[in-house]
Amino acid sequence: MTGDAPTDATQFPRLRRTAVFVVSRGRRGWGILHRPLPQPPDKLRHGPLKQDAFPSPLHNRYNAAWLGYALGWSFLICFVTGLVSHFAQHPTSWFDLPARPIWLYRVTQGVHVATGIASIPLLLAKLWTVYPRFWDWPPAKSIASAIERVSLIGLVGGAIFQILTGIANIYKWYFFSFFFTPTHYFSAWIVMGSLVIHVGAKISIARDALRHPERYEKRAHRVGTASADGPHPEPSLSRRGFLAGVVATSGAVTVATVGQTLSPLGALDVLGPRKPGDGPQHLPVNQTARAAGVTTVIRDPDFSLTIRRGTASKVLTLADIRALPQHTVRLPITCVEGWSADGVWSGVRLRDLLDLLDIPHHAAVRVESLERGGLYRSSTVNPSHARDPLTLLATHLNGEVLDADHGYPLRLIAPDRPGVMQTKWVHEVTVL
Amino acid sequence: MTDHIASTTDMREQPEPSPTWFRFVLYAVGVVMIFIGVKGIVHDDHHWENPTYWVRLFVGGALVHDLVIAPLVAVVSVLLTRLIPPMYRGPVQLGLFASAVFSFVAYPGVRRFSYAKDNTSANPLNYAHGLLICLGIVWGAVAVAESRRFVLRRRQLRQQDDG
Repeated sequence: MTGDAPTDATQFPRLRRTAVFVVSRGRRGWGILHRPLPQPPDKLRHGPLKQDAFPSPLHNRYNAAWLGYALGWSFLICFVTGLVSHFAQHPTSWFDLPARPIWLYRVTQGVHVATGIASIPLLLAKLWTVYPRFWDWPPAKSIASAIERVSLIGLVGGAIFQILTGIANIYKWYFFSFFFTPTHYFSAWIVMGSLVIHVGAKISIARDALRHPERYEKRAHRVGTASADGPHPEPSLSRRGFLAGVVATSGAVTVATVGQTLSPLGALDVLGPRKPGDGPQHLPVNQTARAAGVTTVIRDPDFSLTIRRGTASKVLTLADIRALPQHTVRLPITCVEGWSADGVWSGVRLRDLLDLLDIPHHAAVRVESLERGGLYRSSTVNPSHARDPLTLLATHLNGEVLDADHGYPLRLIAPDRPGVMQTKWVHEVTVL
Repeated sequence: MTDHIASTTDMREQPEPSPTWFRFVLYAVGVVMIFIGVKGIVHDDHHWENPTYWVRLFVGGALVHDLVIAPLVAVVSVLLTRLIPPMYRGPVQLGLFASAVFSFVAYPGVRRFSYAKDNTSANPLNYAHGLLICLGIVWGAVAVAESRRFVLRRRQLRQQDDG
């Protein structure tokens, strides 16, 4: 554009007028939002609303910032690993959990649950540290501050909701009347969104508090001054002692549960919802054959596996399947509840079965169970998993014919897939 | 865990930082994320038995914490300040905190809410026993810390007397 060329504003006076109008209204709205609200009468200030109602020096900005950082990171880890689990169960065109490394989902889901449990002491300590703010006086200084306070429901309520339902889920305690997985997933977006807003509001002061803790610490009385506690000069718990205690609790509660997936710590697993070697054929079970309502149908002597490609199909009996080349692989079952355990599986490669009908290598397939209903009665196997040499329709586990609860007569076992997608009691494979 | 120690500054009196472009970018990102969450919750209605249940649990959790649990903790704190000298109070405070955390985590297992006769591999442990082990370790650590404080205090008083 040359120097004497007309500007956009002179070319479009209406646009300029609109911009000026929007900016002026925006400034006016900003002013209204931040205009101080009338001070409520002081006689209402009783109990926890009083100044110094929470005199502990541990209610300080440094502790709040430190715990906030720790909690922020742990929530972020939970969120990212939760996204991995969500997209592993609901593959999209842009994300498909790869078949290698075979331990990837085991690690991400183990970390997801372990970090969630580790967050509990951090969250409780953080809420305790900032609790005096709940009784802020005046309750709202301006409309903006009222909005900020109300928005904390998303963060506080959401964090408590996620922890509570997460703990209930790993123990299979379904006291709530909604399906856990999507609710936990979408609630996580609300919590993380609220957390991002909270970080935006507090990041400067949190950084400052961590750099200059002395500015934000309450000072204890010195010897000789009046104190309800008598002549003891020191607070009952130092800042470091408090934070160290919270971190130690966080570590201890994690160690007491993480053995359900981290076998070297299995001996310390006293509260874990699963024991890796505990269950039929030394492997835990999530859903039994009885609970799935398949105890009779899986014993049908006429059982057969049907492979479908459009109108073409191939039917194989168990004897036919056992006559195909057999393979043995060592793969973990990794449950979304966070436990995982290795098993030695034997059976036929899924790709060998697909080759019987010349199914193209780029095709995804759907594996269906004999279960009549349930959200996990079938699962989609993407091409990278379907063609993987480790992916089997297994007939044996740990050297024995599959137990009914592990999916007799046939179950899918593939590397790096959530346990709910390792479909049991398979009777049909369909090309998509 | 409230201490009777006077303060010269109060958390709730700290000034808020002034707004910056970074702050507003985070606000925008946060609002978009909340929108994704709320949209998903609202649209995922095929799993709802009671659509208001999620809201009640979501908001109720915050209210139960702020209006029931936190005041209870404050009452316990006041009792502790009356019963235990400040020198020995810290380990007890942390012991109670850790005990509450372990009890919360173990609660569904101890109550055997999901016990199923046909699936002994789900929640296979004796969680009451496991909780007792955890509480034993916690209070053992508290006892060690208190003993250390006692010894240090005795030494300090002896040095003062000698001095």
